[in-house]
Amino acid sequence: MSQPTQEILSDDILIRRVPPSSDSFATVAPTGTGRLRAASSIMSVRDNEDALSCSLLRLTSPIELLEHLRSQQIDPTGWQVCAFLVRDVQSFEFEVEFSPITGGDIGHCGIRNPLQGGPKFPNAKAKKLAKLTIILNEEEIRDPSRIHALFK
Amino acid sequence: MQPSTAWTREEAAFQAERFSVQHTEGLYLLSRTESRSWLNATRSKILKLRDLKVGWDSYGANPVDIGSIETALQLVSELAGVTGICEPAVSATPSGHAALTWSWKSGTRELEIEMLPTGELQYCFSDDENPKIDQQGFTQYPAQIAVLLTTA
Repeated sequence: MSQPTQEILSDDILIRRVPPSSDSFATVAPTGTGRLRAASSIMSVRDNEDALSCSLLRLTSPIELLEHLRSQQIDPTGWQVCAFLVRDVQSFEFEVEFSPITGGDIGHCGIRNPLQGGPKFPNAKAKKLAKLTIILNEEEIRDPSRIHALFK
Repeated sequence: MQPSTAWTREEAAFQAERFSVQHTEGLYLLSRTESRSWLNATRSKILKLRDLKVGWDSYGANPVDIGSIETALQLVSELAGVTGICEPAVSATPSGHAALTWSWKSGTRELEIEMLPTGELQYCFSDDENPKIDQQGFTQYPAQIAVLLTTA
């Protein structure tokens, strides 16, 4: 059976889970606009990983994304969600590939470097992408329609 | 030759408590006789990275390698003795490496060091306002990191 397809648009918004931040390990950082963003290490991949996991907001809500933690026996308390634009991902010459997880995250996507032979997901670009993310507040998590206004 | 800024007797006494002063070939070299106050707090934060379990980011992150933690402890001990270097933010990468980040007050410059288990330091310096001076690479020498932090 072939993988379901989904056209990814430049204006689409992607979301990714961010572990709880603490005094000893800050998983978020301040932006210049009074909001928070994901720390660069949160937007990095493992050495042997091909793509950075994220979810298409159109198909997966922030609440659903956090609820998926329970399937890993993780309490979602303190976890946050960051949002970012497909257009920004593409500006780093990465591509977003739709890769839904059967029985799991139906909006799952992978961000990868389409260039053969180079680093799969270079740290320098991950750092810059992290600076373009926005940590969602509780209202935005409850009402995802508010999220689009963040990127206008 | 005298230092360009003359100290009062009180200032000289204060500086003498904090620095050892060597006069060589017309140069005054100031070395800290006591480490920065941030060193102990930073060491504690680095040691707490041992608590991160496999999958701590919910996307399959590795636990932090002990060798990487030891490298980070050694690096901060060396950098704490260098005048002008402030407290870094402590984090971990999904690959299981300890990471240290220094952000400049301007908010546009950042240096991130990832400690590889081999003892190598992977550095990534970026300046959002002047990407031409961005640089990244590997080194085994903390002194090279100190130069980036104090002259960039």
